[in-house]
This record gives sequence, structure tokens and C-alpha cells, in this order.
Amino acid sequence: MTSIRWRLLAMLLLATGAIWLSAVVWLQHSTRAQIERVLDSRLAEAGHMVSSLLSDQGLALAVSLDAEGSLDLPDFRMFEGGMERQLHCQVWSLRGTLLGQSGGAPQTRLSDAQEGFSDTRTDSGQWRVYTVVNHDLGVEIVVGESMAMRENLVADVRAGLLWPILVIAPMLAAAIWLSVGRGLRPLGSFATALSARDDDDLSPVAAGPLPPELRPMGAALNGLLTRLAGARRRERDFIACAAHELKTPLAGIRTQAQVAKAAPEDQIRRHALDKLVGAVDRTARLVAQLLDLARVVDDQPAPGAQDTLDTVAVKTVTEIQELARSRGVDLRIAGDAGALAVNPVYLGLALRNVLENAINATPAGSAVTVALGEHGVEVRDQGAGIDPQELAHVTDRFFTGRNGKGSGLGLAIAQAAMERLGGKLTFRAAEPHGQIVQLAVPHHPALPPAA
Amino acid sequence: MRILIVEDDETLADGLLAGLQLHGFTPELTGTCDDAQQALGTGDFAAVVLDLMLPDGSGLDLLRRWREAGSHIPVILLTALDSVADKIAGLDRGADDYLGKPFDLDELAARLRAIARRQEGRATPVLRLGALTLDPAQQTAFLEERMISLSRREYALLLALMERPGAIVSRDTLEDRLYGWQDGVESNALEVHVHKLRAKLGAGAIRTVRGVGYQLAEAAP
Repeated sequence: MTSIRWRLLAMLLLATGAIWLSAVVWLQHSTRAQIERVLDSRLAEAGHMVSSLLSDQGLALAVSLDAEGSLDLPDFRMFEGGMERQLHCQVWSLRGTLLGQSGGAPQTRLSDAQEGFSDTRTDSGQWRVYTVVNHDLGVEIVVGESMAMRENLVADVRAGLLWPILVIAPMLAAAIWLSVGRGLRPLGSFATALSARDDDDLSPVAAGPLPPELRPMGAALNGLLTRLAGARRRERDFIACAAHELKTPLAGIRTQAQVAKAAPEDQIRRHALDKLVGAVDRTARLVAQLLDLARVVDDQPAPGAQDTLDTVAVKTVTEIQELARSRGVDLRIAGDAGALAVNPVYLGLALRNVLENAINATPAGSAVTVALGEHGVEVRDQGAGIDPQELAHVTDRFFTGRNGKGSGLGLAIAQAAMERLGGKLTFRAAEPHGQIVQLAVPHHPALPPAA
Repeated sequence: MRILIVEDDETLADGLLAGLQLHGFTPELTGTCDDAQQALGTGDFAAVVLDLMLPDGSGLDLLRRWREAGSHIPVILLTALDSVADKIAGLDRGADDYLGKPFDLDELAARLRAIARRQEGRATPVLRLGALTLDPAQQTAFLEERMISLSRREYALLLALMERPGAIVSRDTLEDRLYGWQDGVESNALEVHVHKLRAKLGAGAIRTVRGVGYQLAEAAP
């Protein structure tokens, strides 16, 4: 994109030039009209002057002129220099004989017009002609003026207007260039201030020194910076939590390993090694959940693939059946969501984490039911239910509540996954005891039937 | 030495329990702030190993409450938040020491011994009474130059008696020091260990003060 400075310069120069040129055209027209009016009246005056001059001499011209054949007329040197010989005079008898002429005037009659103004073209160019008929003397006085002189005058005026443009235009350009630069200086210092910042500095830009035109941009930028700072703070909190959640099992693993190394008795060593293996498994699961969470909250667009809710639910339940069996929990699936389509990755993640929680919360011998319906999935367990005081925090990352079991990531993943597919995760108490977790799924257009 | 462990992670708590026992301590385990508060009120502990993030609150708040209540019990903080600022915050709230996770079990034991030493007002790591010396770091005793190997309980018993030389230590205190809640104490168990210790140190080394407890006498070589 062209720089604002260049564009402003070009626009201002073009606009100024256009205004100036129209002024020149307009002035040229009005000057021409003015000059013609003045010179026409002079031409007429000159005609009448010659006519009255001839009459005052009291000459019986009609006869004598015919006899002598010539008349001594004054030289009409109206202008000096290049303009001389532009005004000519001819005296004709009414019978059509050239009685006299000014010096250098053409021999042919300048105009055939009877009386008054006329324009005519001869070998010596365009002429403006005024004809006076003197009936007393029986002569016609024809005064002509070369049009070239008039054009010269108009051209002089035009040149007088155009020359200043050529001189002033570069100065104007320089002035525009400098003042635009000065006007854009706040933008430059704004950019300098921004680029001089530390990478970590997400504090708002001071709106004070910004000119009013830049304030909306400053405000928008500050909004962005605030959101970025919030995101970074959340990221830091998350990393701090993740570090704690990973370092604690690592500390356990290290301690158990040292116990196993130092234990004099086989029984203690075996116990420590068992704990160690269990801790490694739990830590691996935690890392997997962290990766799941990272995938769910990733800004990448959601994978577009869709599957029916029934398919996803059955697949997830099948995958987790092993865990339910090992804990003696009866995991059942019922209902039908029809053609309701969902994103299989996100719903699978959400459902698996909700089911893991439900199975772990349910005492052996009890059941966890997965009910499918047109609004989504409902998971119902027969555990103790979520403490109402903790309900507001169950989807917080790393929140484990009073029981302190698990990573505290399961429901956070479920929540984030449901948000990604546009659904909702809600909790309500089951009667007489237990928890119902609803995974509400938005209605998408039904899948086309398989070909 | 009875140590109160406040840690909610099952694997780490279990490892601390076993590890500190191996180092001759008598550790007790709690997993929440409430339980820790209760345990501290009822037991006579030499030190507390305190995790910072507990399911029902922050270990730092618990520590602050203890200090406000006038408790002088030595506290070692265990935490994953091991930036300098976190350490300063922990120490300023009244902690005596600080270990970032994951830590070395031997280091924790050494720090606990150092804390115990300071509590007793001595600077040398080795306890001495006459010809008898006890090195808590090695859990071994020397009579003159002869090394005497001790079992875990024998070591704990001797340590309790040597901490205040010449003082009579009550049965209850000794049983407290030797056994945690998890261990069932048989009525004559203490006598068994006293008997074994006498066999190793000489019959006159431990005097029975009838109805009160036991006293360590300067052992004859």
C-alpha cells in the first residue's frame, strides 16, 4: 500500500492543480470577453474618428477623391513593437473605389459588411472589422484590426497566470510533504513506543498523548493487549498448576525409588516398587490429560468430521468398559439420539472424562448409566454426588475437591471439549443420591444417509 | 523423633513414611489441613513436613495459623512452587526450611536432623555421653572405638535418651518417640528394646526409674 504521505501529497497537488487550471480557463474566457469589448469599442471609435476627421476637413471628397485617387491618412500606429501595423484603415467610395488607406493596409477590401462589426479572413490573417458609412462625403470608412493581436493579449494573460503555478507548485509540494510528515509524527512515535517495548510488556498504551484520530486505534490496541495479558496470565497459572501437579508425583516416584534402594527388607522394597509403578502410570495418565486439554483449548479450527452421537457414545462406552469392570461398576447405555450429529473427537473426550469420574465415584456393585436423547447425553452415577459448595469449581483445572483424587483435569477437559463443539456441560443432583452430568449437544443438520 | 507429614499425594506420602522410618524417624501421616491441625494438637512432634497445596486449603495458611497460635514447632515446607519469591514467602510465614519437589529423601532426613539439633541447642551432629557417642546421620553408636549396630527402634530409643543426658525420660515420651499411630504398641515392647540395648551397651547403661521412666547412665567401657 502506498504511504499516506505520498498519497496525501499526490491528492493535494492534483486538487490544487485542478482548481488552479479551472481558474486559468475561467480567467482566460472572461479576459478575452473583456479585451474584445474594449478593443471593439476602440475600433468603432477609430472608425468614427476617421469619419469625423474627413468631414471636419470640409473636403468635397466624393468628387475630389475620385479625381485624385488618393487620400493622405494618418498612420495608425497604435502599438509599438510587435503590435504595430495591427490596425488598418481603408476609405472606400460608395461606388466601390478604394480612395485611401493607412500604410501597410491590404489593397483588398477588408470586409464586405455594410455597416458595423464583422469578422473576416484575408490573406494576411483574421480581422475584426468596423465599417462606418459617411453619407455626407459618400464614403465608407473600414477599420480593421488583426485578431492575432487579440490572441497575443489573451496569451499574455494566460502566461501570467500559468507561470506562478510552475514556480509555486514545487514549494506547495514541499510544504505539503513537511506538514503531512509533521501531522503523522504522533503515529510514528506511537509505533516507536510500541516497538521499543519488552516482549513481556502487555500494559495498556497511554492514550493521553495520542491525537483524537489515533485514539480509536489506541483503544482497540489496548483492548487486544488486555485480552493478551489475560490469556498470558491464565497460561502462567496453568503452567504453575501443571508444574505442581507433575512435580508432586515425580517427588513421590523419586522418594519411592530411594526407599526401594535403601530398604533392607524385601517386603518394603517390593511395596515401594509397586507404588513406583502405580505412580508412573498415574503420571502418564496426567500427561495424556494435559495433552488432551492442550488439544481441546487449541485455537486450531475444529476438525470438521461429524458422526452420529449414538456411534460416538457407544464407541466411548466400549473403550471405558474395562475400567468399569475392574472397579465392579455396571456401565450401561440406553436410549437413542436419532440422527443427531456431533464432532466425534470432542464429544468422545468429554464423555470419556465424565464417565471416568462417574465410574471412580460409584461404589462397586452400583451402576453408571449413559442415556442418549435428542438433546445429547446424560451420565448418571450412584456415588456420593458432588459437594454443592464445590460445584462451581469442578470444571476448574486441577481442582480435585476435598477428596483430592485424580488429576483435577477430567471435567476441565470435558467442559472445554463441550464448549468447542458448541454444547454445554451441566450438573444436577440425582435422587436419592449420585450425580447427573448432562452433555447437551447443539443440533446440526442431520448426516446424509450413507451411500 | 516423631515427624508429622502433611502431604495429600498418596505415593509421595507413602514414600515419605517408609523413607523417614528407614532414617530412624517415627513419621505420622495426614493428608489435609484439618487433620494436620488435629494431629498437632494431640501429638508431641519434633518437626512437621508440610506440603503447600492441600485439598482443603493452603499449607502456608495452616503454618500462619500455627505461628499465630504461638507454636514453635519446626516446619519444613515441601512444594512444587520453588521460585525464589515462593521460598521467601514460605520462610517469612514461619517455615524453618524449604524443599522443592522433587527432592532427595536423604537430604530431607539430614535437614530434619539439623532442625532437631538446633531445637536441642547443639551444633555438633554427634551426641556424646562419656565413652558413648551416637551419630544420627549414620544411625550408629560407638562405645570408645567399637561400633555398635542398632536396629531402627533401638536407635530411636537411644537417641531419645541421649538428647538430654542425665534426664529421666518417661515411658509415655519414649513410646511416643518409638511408635507411630500406625504401629500397635504391645505393653512390653519398650522393655524388649531397652533390654536389647542394655545387652549391647552394658547392663548398667540404662537405669530404670521405677514408676517414672528411664535414664541413661555414663556407660562403663
